[in-house]
Amino acid sequence: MRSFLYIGFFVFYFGLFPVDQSEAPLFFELPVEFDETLQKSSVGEFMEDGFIAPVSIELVSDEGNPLFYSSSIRTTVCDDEICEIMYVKLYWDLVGEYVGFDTLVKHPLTKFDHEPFTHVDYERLHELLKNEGSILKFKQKDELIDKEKVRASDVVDGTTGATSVEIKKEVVEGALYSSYTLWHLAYNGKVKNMITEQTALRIDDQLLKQLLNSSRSGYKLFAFHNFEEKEYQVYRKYWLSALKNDMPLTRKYILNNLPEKIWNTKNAQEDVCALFSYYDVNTKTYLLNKLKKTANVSARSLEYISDGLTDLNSNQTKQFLSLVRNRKEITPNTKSNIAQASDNKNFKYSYLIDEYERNK
Amino acid sequence: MVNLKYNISERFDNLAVNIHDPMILRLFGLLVLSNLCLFFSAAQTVLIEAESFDDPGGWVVDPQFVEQMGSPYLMAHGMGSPVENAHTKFLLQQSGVYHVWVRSKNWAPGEWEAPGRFQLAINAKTLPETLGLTPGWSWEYAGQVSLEKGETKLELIDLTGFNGRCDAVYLSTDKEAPPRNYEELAEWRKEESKEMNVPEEVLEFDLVVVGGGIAGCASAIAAAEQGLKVALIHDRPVLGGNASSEIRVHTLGIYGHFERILRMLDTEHYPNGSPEAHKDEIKRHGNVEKYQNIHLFTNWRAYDASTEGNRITSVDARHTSEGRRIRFIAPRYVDSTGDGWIGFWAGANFMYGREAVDTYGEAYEEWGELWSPEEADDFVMGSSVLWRTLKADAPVDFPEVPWAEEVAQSHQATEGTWKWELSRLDLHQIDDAEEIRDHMLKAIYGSFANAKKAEGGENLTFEWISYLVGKRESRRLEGDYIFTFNDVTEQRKFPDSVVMETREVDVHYQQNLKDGDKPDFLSEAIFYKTPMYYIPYRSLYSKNIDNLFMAGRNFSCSHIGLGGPRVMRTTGQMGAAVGIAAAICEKYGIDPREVYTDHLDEYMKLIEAQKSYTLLAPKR
Repeated sequence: MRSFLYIGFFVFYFGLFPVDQSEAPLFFELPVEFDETLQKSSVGEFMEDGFIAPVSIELVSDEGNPLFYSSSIRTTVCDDEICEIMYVKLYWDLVGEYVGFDTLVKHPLTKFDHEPFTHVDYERLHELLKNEGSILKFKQKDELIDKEKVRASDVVDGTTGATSVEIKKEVVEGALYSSYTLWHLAYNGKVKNMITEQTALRIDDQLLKQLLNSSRSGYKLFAFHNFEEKEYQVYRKYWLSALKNDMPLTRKYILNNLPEKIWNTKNAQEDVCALFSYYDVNTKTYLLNKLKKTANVSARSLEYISDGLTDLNSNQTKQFLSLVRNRKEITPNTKSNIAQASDNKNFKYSYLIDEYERNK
Repeated sequence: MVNLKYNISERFDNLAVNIHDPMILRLFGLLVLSNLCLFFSAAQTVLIEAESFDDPGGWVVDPQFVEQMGSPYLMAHGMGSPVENAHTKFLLQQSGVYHVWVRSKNWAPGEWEAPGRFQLAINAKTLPETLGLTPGWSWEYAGQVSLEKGETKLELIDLTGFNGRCDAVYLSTDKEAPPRNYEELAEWRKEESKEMNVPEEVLEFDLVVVGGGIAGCASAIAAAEQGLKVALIHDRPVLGGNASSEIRVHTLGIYGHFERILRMLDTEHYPNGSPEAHKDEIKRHGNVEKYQNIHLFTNWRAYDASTEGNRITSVDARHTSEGRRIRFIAPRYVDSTGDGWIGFWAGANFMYGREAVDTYGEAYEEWGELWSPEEADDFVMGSSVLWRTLKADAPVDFPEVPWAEEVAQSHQATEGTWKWELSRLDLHQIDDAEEIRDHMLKAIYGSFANAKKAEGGENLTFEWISYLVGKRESRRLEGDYIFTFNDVTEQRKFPDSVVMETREVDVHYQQNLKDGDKPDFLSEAIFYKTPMYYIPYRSLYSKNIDNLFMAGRNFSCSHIGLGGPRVMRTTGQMGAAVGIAAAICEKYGIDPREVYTDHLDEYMKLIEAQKSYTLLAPKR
């Protein structure tokens, strides 16, 4: 009898945590080579409704370099009456963004009438899980189907006929509740917070560089979140590069957190303003707001902005003119840019310059 | 704007007609001849406000941006097909050669033909100049014309169906254009119309409710049921605000204590943008109009509030097309304007923008800056413009829309959803609302044009595009209590909990913040799911204006605090709670704050009783 228990435990344990770490998961978005040398360590546990027991989150590293997090999950998937157990492995990057999933040995995902997922179903699931803005975010489980149209079914995901069209478009057909459960695990706030906390604990020069050199925008933003004044000095080319190329959210963060000591130097201000034409509309406004609050704005900084004057919006044009108005010195090029913009028939806000000139 | 009765009486007192006859008034429209010009100058001038045209044809009256550009205006909202001409007549006092200007705007300037082009015809003769070409609101010269005195006809001829706009037509024998600058123009208009400071008509009520959205309607009904004589002032022809058939957002949230009242006003859960909104609108009007003591002023837009000390003494409103004005006097006022205009004019403390995360401790850790910023900023939730298409039986032509491409880029769509939303740091949701609306129009026309060019798009045609901005967030007036995210996370109960809600705290951000390649007119939502939370009565009256209530999205809350209860059943609860408080105020001759400090038990019993309140509304 005891030997049966041992066998059962063995099957169960290795079903959950496969020994072979060398194979890439079914879907995985990070450029990682899977082999036996990868190490994993548990960094914490989390528990959700439907879990049979708390689930461990593991950090996978390569020679001490954190690479990603994973978790082998065993959860119930239920409708109002029936529950089934689903086994799945989810992967997140170092800042808690979903990057892939895998099935566990002997536990393919199943749908209507216990049919296993096809390859197309798995692909669709991955697409769904990559979609942070999925409609599933806004739905309570009891809103997934129209109760009045439910047809009798003896399996959990057998009520597809009553799924609303908007939800149907996104989920794996015949696997409504599995899709719902997995999406909410992939975007679980507790997991994200645990992961970012764990990554932050491991930040050192090497990891910081790894994050800054990554093509993942979330990594760079996370790196800047962990900058102190010293890092803004040391990694100047990185934050300038991020200002030029990265997502608006990161640009805003940098402009907001650039230490005063650096910002108040002529060089830094001019380096930031020289990138003005690369900025999106919100970053442009954010910078103009910042300049308004800055005691000493260099004439060259304003000249850089004036180079892109005809790309400004109405309020930005007013802001720029107000910055110029409050200055004793402006460069000849700035004057020339303003004059040209005023005469430019294709500049939709040239009349604002005329008004400015009149009210000067 | 003009003071019709005053000017026309004075100008035409030698006419052998009854100048107070409404038909005559209608014929004259808003004709104004300048006294100064008549007596001290040789110049003859006529100013005609476009919104007062006798027959707007297919043009619509747009009064949304009066505070920014100075007046309601006519707009050719034809969804790409030129609309029927607008007509009016006026009596010209003297013959002469007149220069003609039209106040208009090119709403999408660039290296293409302006989308909103139109022409003006006088006495059936079309003036040669094409109008709607100049960026920013300005007086465009339409040409000169020789006119005989007597009845003169004006006609606006839309050339495109793409939202050409005409604010006013000005004729003068002098070739001097009216001022462009907003302040100078406002002064000039007053002089031209000889408008007195005080409106010509004064009406008194027990309660003046400004704004006929769900909150304002609920407020009016609740107060009326308690016996108050209520004025409900609304700047549109139909009630409901964002839930009206003009904007078509369905109502969300729970009923709280006020199911009976809110069922009279709310909507089914139809898809946003659905014409089913009409059915609910009919219900809503039927229900509001059956109250004898609700005096409904639709198409009246409030434009000022007078104060003495910390009290509002009157609210002035103007008819959106006729220009007439009324002064509304009451002991108490409800600001349900959404933008908090009454409070703003009265000097009430207000908030705008996103508070810094530490101001009230409103972090949602995993969402960081997208939820609540490190430093306060103006990245509020944006405004939406909903729209729908249908597939016709045969291919339908649609013009090229090069002016829309810079916004829509390659995006394709056949309908607008709540995700069609614009918030930008350089745009203020009130001050720049017209630019926001126009940006959304470009997004709509451009995305639709792309969808039409795609395979299977030949038969697509527009069913409906709203021309009204559906706002989520603007000014929030400060009350004795500021409702925040913490009241949700802690499910804090108050002795004066009058509103309850279970809806998620739902805060939006623009998609392009995380991905610069996304169109700038699409948003995403962050949901914080929660059990029941409560809003205290103290968030529903002004902290520093003693006789001002507020109900609707302009109630006293933080940016994040607004995330949950900004939906219309919840704001309806606020309205009903305020209406009942107004009755307690009336009973004891007190201000809103004293309901909380001195009469809370009685008030809360009355609130509680709403659940079982079965009195039917008094019939007319």
